[in-house]
Amino acid sequence: MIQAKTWGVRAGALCVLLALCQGCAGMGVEPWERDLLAKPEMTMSAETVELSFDEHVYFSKEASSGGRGFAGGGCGCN
Amino acid sequence: MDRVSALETVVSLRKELREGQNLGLKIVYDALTGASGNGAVPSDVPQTFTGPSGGGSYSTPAGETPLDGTFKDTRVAASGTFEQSLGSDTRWTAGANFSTEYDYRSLGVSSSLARDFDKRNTTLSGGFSISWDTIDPVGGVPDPLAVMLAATGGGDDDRDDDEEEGEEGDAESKVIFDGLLSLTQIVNRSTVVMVAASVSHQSGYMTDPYKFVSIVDEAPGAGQGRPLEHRYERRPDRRTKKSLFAEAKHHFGHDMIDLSYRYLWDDWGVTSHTAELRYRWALPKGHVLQPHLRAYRQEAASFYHRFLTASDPLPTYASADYRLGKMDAVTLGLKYARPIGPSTVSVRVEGYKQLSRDNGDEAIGVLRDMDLYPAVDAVMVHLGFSRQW
Repeated sequence: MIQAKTWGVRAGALCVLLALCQGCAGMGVEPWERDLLAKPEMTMSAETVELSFDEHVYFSKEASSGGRGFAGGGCGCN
Repeated sequence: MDRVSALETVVSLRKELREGQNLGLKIVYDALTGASGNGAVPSDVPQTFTGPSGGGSYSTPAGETPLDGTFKDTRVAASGTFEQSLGSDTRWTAGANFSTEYDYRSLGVSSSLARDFDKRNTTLSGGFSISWDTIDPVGGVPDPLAVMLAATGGGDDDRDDDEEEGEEGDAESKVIFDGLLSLTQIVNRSTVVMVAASVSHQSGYMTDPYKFVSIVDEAPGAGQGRPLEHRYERRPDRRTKKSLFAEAKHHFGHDMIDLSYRYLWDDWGVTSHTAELRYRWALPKGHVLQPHLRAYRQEAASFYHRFLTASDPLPTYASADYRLGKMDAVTLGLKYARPIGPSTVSVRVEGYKQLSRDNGDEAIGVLRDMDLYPAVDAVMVHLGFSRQW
């Protein structure tokens, strides 16, 4: 049975996400302001190789995995 | 107690085939070595554990946590990704991956679509993946919650003896469907955030064929708390996990910071929080030092029991696998990377410590003198090489 506290946490997390999405409308940069953003470390897929390794290690010790993305190829850890 | 250590080497290649078309290939070799708790309780007498056919036995001295024999898990994995631009704002990425371990094989494919909006300040991405995994344990798959057989043969350490007993064993499999939706947003010139929601549905064999749940004697007396028998564990054959993830990267001009958080929950009763911090310290000449901190908290699966007593009715599902328990874990790591010509070479060392949040109140008899929830320590070493042609 899911407790009220758990539902509260999930609802709160969803609200934060929706607020972020709502706030997205006014944000951003012009194409000529992308000097820092163009750096490889600023892409979300910057360290997929290492993150995949971490996934495998943590999966061998914990009950959680994934959630970040699988664009870089699966881990086969399941 | 040092138990499992991990070493990985990776080669990752990425090539632009033509404009808007990229191919990536990754080959991984990693090794997890050490021994893992087999779920049974420690006792004040030595214990012997066997594989499903009665062979491949190993022993645990009195007072020590039973660990499942010599454990070597080396994995070789290969994955490929193909990325194709569809117009100026859309990208399609397809992936295939294969990995093989001692008794485990996985094959998967994935597909995702990403679309940019608002001068590429916003990216929406959605995708799915399907994976087929097979496990072929030595000695075959044990019957769920069956009582462990007494040792036959000479009590050797090597699990391979099960194969010599003539057991072909049964392979089991499972299928995993994953769906992911993510939104990446540029906040300002130096900050980008991403939020993602994912669902994973697995069905098939998810029990660990090498792990036990102990049935202990609760009758008052000298033997109270000693295991009467060990049973093979049993997990449900379906699992649906959901997660919400958020990450932010902020660049200071030279250094960069990366913060992320994941909240996960599933229908096994597991919920978890994962928070990570990475600080990328840019040194002269392109060298990088990156400390890493990770904090993890997990609630136990509903069918997790450290042990059962003889008068407990046997539940439908039961596992004493510490990985499904109530715990906290911390990782502290450091990575060093440097360019060598067009390549980047890196070495990363991380220390991991996991502590159970179970306070052992349910321990009875001799179990009160045992460490039912030993800490799990591990050291991970990661060597990386990447090159772009």
